[in-house]
Amino acid sequence: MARSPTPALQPTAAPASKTPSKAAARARTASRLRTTLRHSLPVLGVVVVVVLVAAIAYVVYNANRKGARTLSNDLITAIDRRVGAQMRSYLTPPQQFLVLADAAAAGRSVIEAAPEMERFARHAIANIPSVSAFSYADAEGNFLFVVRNDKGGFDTKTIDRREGRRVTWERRDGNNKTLTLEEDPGDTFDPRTRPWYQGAESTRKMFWTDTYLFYTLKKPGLTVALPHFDSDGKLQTVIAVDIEIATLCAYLEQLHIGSKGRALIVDAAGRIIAYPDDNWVPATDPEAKAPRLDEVGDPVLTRAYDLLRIEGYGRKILDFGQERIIVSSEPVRRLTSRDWIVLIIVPETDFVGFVSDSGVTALVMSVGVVLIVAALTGMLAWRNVQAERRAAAATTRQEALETRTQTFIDLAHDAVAADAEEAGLSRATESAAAACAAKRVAIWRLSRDGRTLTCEDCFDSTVHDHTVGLALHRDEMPNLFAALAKGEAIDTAEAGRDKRTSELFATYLQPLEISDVYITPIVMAGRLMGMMSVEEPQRGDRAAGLATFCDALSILLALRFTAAAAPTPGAQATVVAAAAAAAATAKDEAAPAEAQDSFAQRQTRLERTLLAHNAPMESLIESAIDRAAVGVIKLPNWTTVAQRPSDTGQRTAMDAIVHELQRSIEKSGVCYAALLDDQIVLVAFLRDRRSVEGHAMCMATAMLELRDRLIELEDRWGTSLDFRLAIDIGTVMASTVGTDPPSRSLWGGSVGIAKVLASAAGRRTIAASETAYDLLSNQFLFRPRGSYFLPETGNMRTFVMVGRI
Amino acid sequence: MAARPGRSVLSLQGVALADRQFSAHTARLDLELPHGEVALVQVEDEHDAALLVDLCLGLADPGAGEVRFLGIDWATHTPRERFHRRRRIGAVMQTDVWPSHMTVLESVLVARAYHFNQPRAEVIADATELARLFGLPGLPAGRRDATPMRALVRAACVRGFLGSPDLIVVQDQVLDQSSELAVPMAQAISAACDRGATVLWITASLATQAAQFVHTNQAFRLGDHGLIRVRRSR
Repeated sequence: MARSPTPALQPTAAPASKTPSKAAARARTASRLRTTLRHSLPVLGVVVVVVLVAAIAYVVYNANRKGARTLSNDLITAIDRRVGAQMRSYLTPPQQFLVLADAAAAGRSVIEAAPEMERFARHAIANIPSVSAFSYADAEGNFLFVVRNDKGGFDTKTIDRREGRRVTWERRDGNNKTLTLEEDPGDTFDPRTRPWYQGAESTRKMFWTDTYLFYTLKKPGLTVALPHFDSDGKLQTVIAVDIEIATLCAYLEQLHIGSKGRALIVDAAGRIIAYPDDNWVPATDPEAKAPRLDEVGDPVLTRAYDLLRIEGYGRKILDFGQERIIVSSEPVRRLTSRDWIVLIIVPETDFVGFVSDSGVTALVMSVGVVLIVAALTGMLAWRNVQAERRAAAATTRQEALETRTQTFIDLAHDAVAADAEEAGLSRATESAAAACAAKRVAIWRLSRDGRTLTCEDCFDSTVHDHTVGLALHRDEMPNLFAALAKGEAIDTAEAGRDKRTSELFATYLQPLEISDVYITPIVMAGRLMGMMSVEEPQRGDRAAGLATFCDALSILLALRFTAAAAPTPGAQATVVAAAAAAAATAKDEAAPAEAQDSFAQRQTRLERTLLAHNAPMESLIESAIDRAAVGVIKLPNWTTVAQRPSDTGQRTAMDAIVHELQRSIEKSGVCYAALLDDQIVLVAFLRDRRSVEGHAMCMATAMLELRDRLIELEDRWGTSLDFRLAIDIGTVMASTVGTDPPSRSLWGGSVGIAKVLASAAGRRTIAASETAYDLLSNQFLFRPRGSYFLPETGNMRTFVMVGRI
Repeated sequence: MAARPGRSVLSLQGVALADRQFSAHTARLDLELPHGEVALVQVEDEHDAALLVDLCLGLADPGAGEVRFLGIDWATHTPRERFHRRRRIGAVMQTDVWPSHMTVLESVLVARAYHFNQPRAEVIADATELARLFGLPGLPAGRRDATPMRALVRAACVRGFLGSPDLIVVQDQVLDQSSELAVPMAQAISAACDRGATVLWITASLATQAAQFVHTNQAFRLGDHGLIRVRRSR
């Protein structure tokens, strides 16, 4: 970069991109298909195993469940039979006893047959455990009642109605010895009103009562009665026995039907005959009927009762909430001539639950097996993938090595071709970009004075284009230059955070949206000659050997630069002469002409503005100073410099900054400095216009020096100082202040412009006006910053002063 | 929301915001902006934000409801009347702002020159003052292609606030992402409110740094069915 502030961009022909052939595309598709198939096969295997295990578990579960149900049906049938047999063994003897007693009585009246029947009854009751009492009544209301007592004997009650009503109780002990003989005049009992009597009379055959609470024993039981008619069909006697059902209840209770199953005996109306509980009583009132199934407060029995009422007898499955309950109801009609039913209620899980449990266990074990298979398959697949990755990585590395080898071959070719320097660099950057799979590769050459890195060639692989000419100045990026001077490569994925590249990032990389960069210094015999920047190189396997490759490439580039820097003596003399001539021309002609234009434009506008305010320029000759060099430093925000850094003693950071700047200003040669608020105004001037360039140089040098001092302070304190600087060349006004000794205050004109430029400048930068640029662009590097309309100057180009050229 | 018709600079009553890009619902908007107040509205979708701006500026008619600027419904105006009336509105936005055939400076000044009989020097002075507030030395003198984006963003702010408009509508996605402009924007809004202007700031997020410095009287979020009043945490 010489004078122009705009980087010169010289696009060269972009290489034609190669379109992949159809065959290659087909091969890639087939390869991807094979890879996908290879990776998905283990997964498919696991899925098949899972499906098979699930199917086997389902079939086994169903078979076991079916078998368990068959077994449970058989078991319930067996229980039905057992209960039936038990009932027969329990109820048949009392019936036989009844038949025999009836035969013995032969229709005789109670008074007539009482002694014989009593003896018979006592013997029979003693031998038939299910019978607890014997009743013998005739049509006249006479009554004989024999019942066990708690002394192991019998109590005999006799009601004799021949002479009025006489009730006697004869109580015997276990040895049949009469203990007491007593009358009970208060007894009003009439057998003809009892249900068993009336039932037998009305049915004219053996009659079974419902279960009820025995009046005398306070125990649940039932009575079976047998009537006796004469030849005319007239009722003569009714003989009955009381059967306690406690024993039957106890039997039902001890039946083990699954873990929660139970058996009951009910009649056709659903009234409970026997309940599986020792202490069960049908009712507290002897006259009350036994409860129905839906009256005992058991929801399962209530549902079962409803089920039976609707669907009738048989074996049913009752869905009760989440539970399935088997309800078996088999009639035992032949036994009692009444519609008695053995009701068995048992949860299905009592029989088939073990199937579910074992099914779950089997399923858990199967899942475990599947998981193990899946893990093993996954491990195999992972190893397969890893092996493929390793193979792919090896291929990638191989390709990268081949590409880099080719790059070296190309560069070596170019090195021996005398006329191919520029094309060789282009090919080198292209090859390097391909080898590193980088977005951009640039080769920079350091100027002889070591202050500027100029881009010799930059290849952007995304647009396949080359640019040249961009310059990086040492004053702009001191940290980068310092790092390169050490000869160390810079490898950073976050250029903005790396101190060495942060300035490069802000100025060059960030606009390109690049943060990953590898920079190799180009060094020959210990002297820095340039650098190669590889921007956004592909990392991973393709990055293997990146550093070595870049180092080697930098050595080749160093050789190239050395060869190029050694022209023939004649040519060298010509170049030097041409450069000297060009410099002289620039110094003597171009710069003053431009400066004159910008000064004239500003002066015209200033004069017009002053005239509008009734202040012609001629009248200000004494107070105005023309072409003064003005610099303004806008100091950091006070809140950031109010702290006391450790190396400043008790002084605030602001004190230290002002002190440091004061020292620099005193050395700079500027003749005026004023500190007001957060701004320092510097002015260098003489009345002699011819010295304006010298003052501008002085001010520009002072500004750079002050900027560098502030950056040093930033580095030393590890903080960010938000300072801005500006420089302008133009007219200022001077006023004398005080009398002893008088001092001068400079104001207006360029002071105001410089203040505005400083306020609008970027952080840590030096803004420059157009007049300053016109005067200083031969010696200093500037970047354009846009053109603005200022009321004070009219249209004015603005710049950022980067450093000295 | 309770409507207070008659006293507002901008009033949206039952305005239907239809044809939304990311919502199947038609939002019903009710908004009253009195003199000197600042309202912040979070509209996440840029398309919806542009629709809302067009409604407020009378560039589009709502499907239902009415938008009143200074008490008069935009729908009652002819296009030319609307054009003249919009001289009292300043809009800060980045899309389709700068014509390619004139400089940014002229683009900023031309509206004032067309609508108002104000000396050019005064306009320039006002514009320069605003430009310096927003961190520019002056107004950019080049065309949009030759002007840095940083300067264009700030010039758009100058354009919106220039000339003491009664209503300032801010809908600037660049502004949402810029923290440098937070303080200048707050200062400009504060100054505008002090002289009685009303500001409607449509932002992609109420949490953006630029909006943090602004003292708002009302804050809303555009939901599926309309504006939802929200409380801002400061």
